Amino acid sequence: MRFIHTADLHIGAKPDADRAWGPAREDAVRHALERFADICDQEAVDLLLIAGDLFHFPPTEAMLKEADAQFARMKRTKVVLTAGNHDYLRPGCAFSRHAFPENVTLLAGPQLQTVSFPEWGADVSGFSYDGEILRDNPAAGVRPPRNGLRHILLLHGGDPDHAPADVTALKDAGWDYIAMGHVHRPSLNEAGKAAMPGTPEPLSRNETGEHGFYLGEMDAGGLTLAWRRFSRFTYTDLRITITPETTQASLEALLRRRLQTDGSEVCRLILTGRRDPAVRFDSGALLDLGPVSGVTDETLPDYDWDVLAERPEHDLLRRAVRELAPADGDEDPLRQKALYHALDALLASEGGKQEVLR
Amino acid sequence: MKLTRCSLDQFGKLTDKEFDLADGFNLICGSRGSGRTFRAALSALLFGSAQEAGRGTLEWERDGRAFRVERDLTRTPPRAAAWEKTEAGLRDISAADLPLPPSLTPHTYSHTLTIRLPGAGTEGSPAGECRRRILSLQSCGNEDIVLGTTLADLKEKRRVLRKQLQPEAAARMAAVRRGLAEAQQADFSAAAEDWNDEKERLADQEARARRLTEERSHMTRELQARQALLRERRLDDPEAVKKDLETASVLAGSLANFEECYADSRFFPGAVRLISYLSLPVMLLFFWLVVNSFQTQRYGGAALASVGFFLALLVSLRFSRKQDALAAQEKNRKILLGLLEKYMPAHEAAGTAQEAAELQEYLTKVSETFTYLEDREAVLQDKTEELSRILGDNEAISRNLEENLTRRLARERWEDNVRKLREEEAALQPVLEKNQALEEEIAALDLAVETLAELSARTAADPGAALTDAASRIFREITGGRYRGVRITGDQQLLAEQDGDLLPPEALSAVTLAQLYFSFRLAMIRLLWPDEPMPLFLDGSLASCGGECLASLVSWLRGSYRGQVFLFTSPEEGETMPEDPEIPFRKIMLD
Repeated sequence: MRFIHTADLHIGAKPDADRAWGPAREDAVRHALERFADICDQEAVDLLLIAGDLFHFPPTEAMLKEADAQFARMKRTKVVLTAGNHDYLRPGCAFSRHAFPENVTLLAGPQLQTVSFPEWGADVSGFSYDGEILRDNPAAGVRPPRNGLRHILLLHGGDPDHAPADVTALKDAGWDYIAMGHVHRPSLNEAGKAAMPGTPEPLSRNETGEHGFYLGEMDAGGLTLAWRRFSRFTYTDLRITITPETTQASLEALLRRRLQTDGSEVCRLILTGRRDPAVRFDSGALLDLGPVSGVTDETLPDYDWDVLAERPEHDLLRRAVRELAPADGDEDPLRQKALYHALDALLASEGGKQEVLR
Repeated sequence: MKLTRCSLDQFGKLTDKEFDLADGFNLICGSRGSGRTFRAALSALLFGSAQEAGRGTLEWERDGRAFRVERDLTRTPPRAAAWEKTEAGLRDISAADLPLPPSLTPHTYSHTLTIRLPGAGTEGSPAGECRRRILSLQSCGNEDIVLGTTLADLKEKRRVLRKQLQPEAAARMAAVRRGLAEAQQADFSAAAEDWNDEKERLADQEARARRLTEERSHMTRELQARQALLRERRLDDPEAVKKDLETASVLAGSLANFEECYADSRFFPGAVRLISYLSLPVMLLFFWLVVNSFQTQRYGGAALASVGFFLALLVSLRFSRKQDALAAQEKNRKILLGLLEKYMPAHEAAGTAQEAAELQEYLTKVSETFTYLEDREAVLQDKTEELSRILGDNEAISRNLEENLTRRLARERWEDNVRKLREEEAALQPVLEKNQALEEEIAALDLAVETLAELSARTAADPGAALTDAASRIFREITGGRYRGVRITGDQQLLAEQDGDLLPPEALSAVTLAQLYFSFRLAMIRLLWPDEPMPLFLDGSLASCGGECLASLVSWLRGSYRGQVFLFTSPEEGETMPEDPEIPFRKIMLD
């Protein structure tokens, strides 16, 4: 049996809605299921597992109708899905009363439900959320039936507020594969029996790196899993080391060469290193250069601490350094920021003396 | 520390120069800018600053030991060599670790040992500038830092950041989270499952109701027309018509029978009445003849008389019935004529059986019409009842549908609300992140402001107080006791004390002001190097502050300062500098 394990499609989400590339992002998220239908067809997939949060919020009838159209295209693929903490089921809501096509099974109960596929020698169990929070895991302590089939568990959550799960205990309980969802970054446990595919399309600038799904094959011989990239779009952290020679213009020129303009990548700029104390980078101008989701300026003024140390003992500047500088090995961002604010202001007041510190 | 000799090459205009420096006073005469170059050259040779290009040597003595450093700062990297002069000759020492006095740094060289009078070349009043510098020295230990400006700068930064904060975002996010938490309690299980069937059923019912209404309306109009017609013909009493119909039926039969049986009698009603009236006397006559014949025993006559009696009796009976029939026929005719007048007024009636039959037929039709109307009314009643039932059903279905619609709308509102809340949550997230970053910056600025204010207070209370005490002593000495000293009040007022009066800087003469500032700077030098006389570099501004000022300063320095003094001046001023045998100095011409 060939299967695809995905989760957290979050159809309806509008990442970066206020940015120029927002509509393209929304479009990519909306068409994710359509692309899965294509992949299921191309890869001859028997079973599509969606471990919760197919939708970004409880879906409307219109959204379900759109999903039905894609499910109906999966001629040879059966679909098993659960509702997660975003698209949870409420009594009488459109999701819970929707009649899906025959090839689709929604495990809608808050308790563990099972759908069997004897033709493939497997069954799939899972449960759906009825609210945003689920502090008791319905699968905890439950053993799959001894029916000679291989057992797959759909599990959305894993953290204390969302079906807390001990994956090792679940695996020991007899589940052959635990298809997880909820966390947006992909991960695979050491034994290869539990996987979190993450979101097929990244949903925020914090979700950097590649996004995709697991393509699995389960038969009498066991389970094989392969990671496949899905997202056409990537958020990346672009770290740029600043030197005292770097200016706004040189930084902008560098970024113009580096930034992708085909819409496939959005960068979060992280400026590190030492800058000329007199230079302040204009984040707004950097954001306007292209697909830049944000600018984090971690640069520090390139002060010459030896020169500062040459000041008289009672000089306010030297005392401020001594008072605010974090101790060696002590990471205290607040004190460090305060120190640089104090130095900036003191040197500005001292006027014309900043070059002494370079 | 005492500088003894220097040679300078390629330091600006100072090229290929050698100077022997005196123990006491050195009057450095040079054109504009050359004094600064000389000081910078000394600094470069002492500290190896790469900012000054040039090469040269510098020799100095300290604690009875003599040292020499040679630097070539024109090369990259700069070259340096240092020696200690001993009796045995030159001993190499590390140029990177010259035996300089503690605290002697490029900064203290430029900002402490070099003295420039305040007010020269600056805007504002010299007194204000002097006060600012002295107060800065007292509160910051750095006369160039204006703490008020520094704190104002930090507070302005903080204000700008606070303005960028969006405090409502956190409250809005809390409301969004509350909304999402409330949304997960929604329950729409009561909503009808057969929504479409119900709608179809209602449509059918409504169509049927429309048909019934139309039929009912049609029937009502027909009934009303018929009833109007009957009323017009005064046939509005079905019971009377029914009764008259019975009467007409009887009359028709009776009259027909009479006409059939007594068709001829009507032409001789008088004869019948006469015969009828005469038959009784005749009968009585024959009865008397019978009795008389029996009495006279004329039995033949009696028999004839008896026959005559019975014949008379038969005639009497026959004509009596005829007469009754005629009377009844007459009565019937009158009744018939009455009915005909009632129902068929236009008809010219004769009271015949034929007319009676026509009347009977007419009333029969009227009666049938009444029966028809009754039937139609019953049907109408049935339809009305059915319509009423359907409308009642429809009302129930509509109510049900309306409730379903309300629930459905509520569900759709819920879906829409959750979608909007999710979107708002996503939109608020970066705002909150930005707020957090801003708050961290604001907290850092708070810490910076607090720290600087606290450090300033500690500086004023600790080194600042010692500085003021030392400066007071020097000020008293320089001014020859005219001023007892200087005070700095808690509210940062600088006051010179003279004869019990406390004078602000504005009340002091320019000379006194210069003396006051000079006192603080010297006090600072003594605080920094309490045990070692350091070379003092007096900027050209001191040489140009006036003879009285310069004389008082030089006089005090000669008597109280054990270190070297370098007094910078222009060649012109150097030429006019009076030669005072009590104050020997070496004149060094830079140009």
